[in-house]
Amino acid sequence: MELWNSFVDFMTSGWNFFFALVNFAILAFFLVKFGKKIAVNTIEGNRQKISRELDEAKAAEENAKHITETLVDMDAENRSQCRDILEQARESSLRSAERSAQLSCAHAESIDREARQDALSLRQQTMVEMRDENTEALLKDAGELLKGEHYAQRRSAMPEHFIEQLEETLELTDSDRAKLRWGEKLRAKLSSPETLDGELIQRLEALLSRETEGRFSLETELDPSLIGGLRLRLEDTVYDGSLKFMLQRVGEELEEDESPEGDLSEYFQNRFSVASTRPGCFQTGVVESLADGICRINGLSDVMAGEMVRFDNGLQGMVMDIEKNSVSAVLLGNYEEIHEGAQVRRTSKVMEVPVGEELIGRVVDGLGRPVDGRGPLRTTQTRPVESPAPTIIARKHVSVPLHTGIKAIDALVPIGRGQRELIIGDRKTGKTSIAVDTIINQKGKDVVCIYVAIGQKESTVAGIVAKLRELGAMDYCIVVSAKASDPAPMLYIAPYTGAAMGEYLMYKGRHVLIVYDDLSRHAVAYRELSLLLHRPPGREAYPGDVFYLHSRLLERAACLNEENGGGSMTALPIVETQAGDISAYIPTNVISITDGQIFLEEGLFNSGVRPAINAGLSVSRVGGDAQPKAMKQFASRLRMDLAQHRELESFSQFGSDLDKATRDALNRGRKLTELLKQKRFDPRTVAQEVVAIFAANEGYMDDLETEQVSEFERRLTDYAYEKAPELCRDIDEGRKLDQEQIQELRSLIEEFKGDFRA
Amino acid sequence: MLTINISELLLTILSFFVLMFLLNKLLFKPVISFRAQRQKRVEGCHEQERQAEEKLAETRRELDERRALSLKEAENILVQGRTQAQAEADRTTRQAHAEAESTMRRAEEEARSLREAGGKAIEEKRRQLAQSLADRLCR
Repeated sequence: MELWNSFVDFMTSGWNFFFALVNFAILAFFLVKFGKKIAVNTIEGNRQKISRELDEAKAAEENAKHITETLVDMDAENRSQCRDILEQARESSLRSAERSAQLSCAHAESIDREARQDALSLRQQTMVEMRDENTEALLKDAGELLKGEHYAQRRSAMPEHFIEQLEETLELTDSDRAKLRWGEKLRAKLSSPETLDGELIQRLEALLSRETEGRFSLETELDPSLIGGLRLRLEDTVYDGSLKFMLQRVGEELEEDESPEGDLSEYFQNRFSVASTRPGCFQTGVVESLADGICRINGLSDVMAGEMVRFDNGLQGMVMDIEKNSVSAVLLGNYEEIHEGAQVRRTSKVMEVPVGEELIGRVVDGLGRPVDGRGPLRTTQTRPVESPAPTIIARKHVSVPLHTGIKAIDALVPIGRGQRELIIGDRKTGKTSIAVDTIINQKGKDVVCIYVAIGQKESTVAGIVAKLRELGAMDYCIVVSAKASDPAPMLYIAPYTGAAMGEYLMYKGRHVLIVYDDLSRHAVAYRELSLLLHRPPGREAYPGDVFYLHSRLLERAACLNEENGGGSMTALPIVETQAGDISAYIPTNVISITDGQIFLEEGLFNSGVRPAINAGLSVSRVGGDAQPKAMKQFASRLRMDLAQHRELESFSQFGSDLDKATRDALNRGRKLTELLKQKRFDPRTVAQEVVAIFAANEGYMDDLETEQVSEFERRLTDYAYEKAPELCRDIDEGRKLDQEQIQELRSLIEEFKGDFRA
Repeated sequence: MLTINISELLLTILSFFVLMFLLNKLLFKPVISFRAQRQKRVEGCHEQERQAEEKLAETRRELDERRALSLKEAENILVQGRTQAQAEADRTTRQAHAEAESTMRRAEEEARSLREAGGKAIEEKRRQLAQSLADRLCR
């Protein structure tokens, strides 16, 4: 109570209260003056800190909530992805199994087909052998029978019958008429097995007199080997109605029939029942001299250039030169049995070879005779080996690509159907490999391939045929083989034979690819022939018409227009150079004839760049128009980068201090060079090539090790087919890619690259 | 003279304690409690987030493992498929070769019998065939 009173006293005392107020005011003033800002800042800081903490906490809470929700989705998505992966794997495995089953079935079918073909060939071969074994004996027996008394009466009636037939058929040839015009007499010689009746001779003289206006001399001779009938020789023309000739003709006709069918005795009976009894009429000549497969013949006055002639032993020859008094022919085969004075007969046919679809899958020699031991050819069609090239009117522009499956060629030197693209390079630089790879890549593309081996070793040709057979390429392939040991005429004729076979199919509307391997050997064979024929030698001892030799062959490759069937024949001639000299005679000739060349360089080949294509010297003059559009979009950049690389590479050898742009260009060039390397028998589709080139162009391979490029390319192209099959199909079908598709391709490669790095 | 007023001092001390008591009761305790709760809540949120992130990482690991397992399984499926396809292709090829061999054996047999039978038939009819040819040529 006392305390309370004191407090009241204190408070109520006026001065004390006043001083208290003054103190408070001073305190308040100082607090406001010096402490307000600090306090406000502190409070504001605390407020912000708290607010931040609260915000962070809220965000963390939301994040946690979001994560929790995401976890469920992630799990579901992952499960779905895993399911998809397994599903895709199963589907891919199934597809792969189906593809493998299809391939193995096709292979099995091919084996079965070949076995059936071999069995059929064996049967035919047996029939031919039996026929040949028995023909000689039968003809001999028939000859003996005809000599007998039983046929004496009929034999004696034959001369008269012959004269009657001669009255209908005797006609002077152009050379005979020419001789008469020049005032010469025609020499006639009548051979008979027995002495002839004078009346018959008079009839014959009257006939000859009528035809020759009395300017002839007739000589008669007895020749018991004729058996029966007569033989009249009027200058070079022989009218042979003797039994000996008829028997010989039956034998030749039987020999020409390459596929005797059915019961052999019935076969003989049928053939004998239709044997011709008409006198044969043909021009003959006599072998004057023979050397190195070239035969000089006297006679054959009306023979045509390029006509086939037949020697006594069945050997064939081809007329090459027609001179004033003699004819030169090349012998197409073993000429050891030909002797001076041997008879040569005209066939009145220019050199022809069998053609047709039946030849597909077969190996034939330069004359179209089978050499694969698979029996005779079942074709009745023939075609002259030399024929004029399609005219300008019949042709159309080369516009359809012939996809080789080789990246470097399809990108840098594209080939179109109907084009002639030379493959040129030194020996052992992979020329044949490119041609064979191109053939292999034509599988399922409706292109018939013809491989003409000129002067190749038999083992080489056998190896190529075996490889083609193994890869199923013989199903659409014909091999014409003129081996190194064959005489020069066979080597000379082989490419024309191949061209005739291809041409036949081209005019039927088919697409043909023909490889001439190689034309340098062909030129050498022609040089050999020409020198032996005494034609004047020119540069490098080649004859003057060596350009025409190849131009007339290669001009036959063409792309026909729709009115002419729309077929095409693409030619890939091969020429071998010496020490990389493409300015030699034959290479320059063929380069000027063809529509471009693929130049293979030994240095590149030895440094592991295979195919060893020199991109600078290789060119395709018409193929660009036929290049698939997507490829065309990206290939020009590739060509420029490679050219830049080539220039910089030689430059960079002088110093190592290079700027970044140069280093980048060199790096890009190295990657591109690596990308264009390709193994043998590993053709690529257009899409595979385009995707790989696009990836390289866009720099996706720049940061890879050089060794990784091939693996990257292989996996990328597989990935592209798996992930973007529609895009790949568009590229394969030759469509141009729009911006959207290019972007899709870009993101596909980026996606793949992420996986590749992982 | 300046002296200490005991009563006043005591009164001041008493009023201070009363004030402290009241402040503690009505202000400090609720504020401290509120701050503690807030801190706890904030920490709880962070802890929740940390746990969620840990779980996310763990789940990711699990999912990656699961995906890797699936990929491995897919590869196994592919390898197995390829092996089976190759085996099947080999079997088909072997079978085709066997059939081809059998076809060729049959063909050889057929050719042999053809040769024997044909030779015999021709031998029997040889005279007749020669006669027929001679008749034809000498009509």
